[in-house]
Amino acid sequence: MNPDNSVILEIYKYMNDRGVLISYLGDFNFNVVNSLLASVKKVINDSGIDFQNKKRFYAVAAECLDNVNRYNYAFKGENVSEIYTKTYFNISENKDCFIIQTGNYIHTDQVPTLTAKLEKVNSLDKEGLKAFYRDKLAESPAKGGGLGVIDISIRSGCKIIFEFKPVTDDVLFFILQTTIKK
Amino acid sequence: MDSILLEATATTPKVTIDPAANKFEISGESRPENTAKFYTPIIEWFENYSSVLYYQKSSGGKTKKTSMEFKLEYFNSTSAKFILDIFYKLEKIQKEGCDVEVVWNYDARDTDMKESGEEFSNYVPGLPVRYLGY
Repeated sequence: MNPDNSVILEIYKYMNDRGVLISYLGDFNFNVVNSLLASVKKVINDSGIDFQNKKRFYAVAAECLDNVNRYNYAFKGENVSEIYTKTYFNISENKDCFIIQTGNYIHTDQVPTLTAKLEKVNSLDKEGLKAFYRDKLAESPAKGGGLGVIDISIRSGCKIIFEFKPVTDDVLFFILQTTIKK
Repeated sequence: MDSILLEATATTPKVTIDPAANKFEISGESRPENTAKFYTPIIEWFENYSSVLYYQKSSGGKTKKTSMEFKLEYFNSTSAKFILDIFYKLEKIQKEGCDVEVVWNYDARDTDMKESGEEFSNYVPGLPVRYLGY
């Protein structure tokens, strides 16, 4: 059932009051990532933050989008019902920072690896993260992966917030939040 | 040897691998849809080039200096692994006794980009890297 028009106004107000700058819900693919990044670029250009911070903001957004695009793809590859293939991407701001949030469905068996990776990243300080990045980078390209969240954490300078919301026995909604200080 | 000349797109850098002009440059933004597919021909090209230079040198010929220019505005973490592979190929050319350098160009306001070049160079300590802020 579609939201009725009065709810559309509520949704608009809800998002607007919470400083939402970009919000997307739908299927993810490389073209969607590119189009969202073009919008992110515009937000960044209008943001008034310094050049270095703009570059970091862009890099973090690009890695977040890349992450959800990859998870989404992996998920589709396992013949899961289409109701779980949509992904959410949101950028909002308050007076101190920009917040990037992604939400996508994952399998329960993805949780241990994701949790371990994110907890490890969150346990490290800046120098520790750089050392971890170096170790991962030295691994062959064939292994792939793993660098994205380290890169996000180094560039944002803030801990990554993540949460798994149970949906069914096999499926969870995975929320990842990163912050860029103004 | 053949050259590799690719125009920049929104997601891939401009690539100039032109042995006839002795010009080697990768510039722009790098977050290809398929990173391995994009970079593998470039990495293989340098592998072959190191053999060509080695042959020239060992048969008494003079080899030109290879100056590899990077001028990246942004590269994603997946590209980083392949950029490092290019550094390794250049190091191989150098270890075979040929003159090689990397010129790492970066926007002077983007010290993170300069640091990225320094990070790559840590893996290949003998390879000369010049940092040029623009």
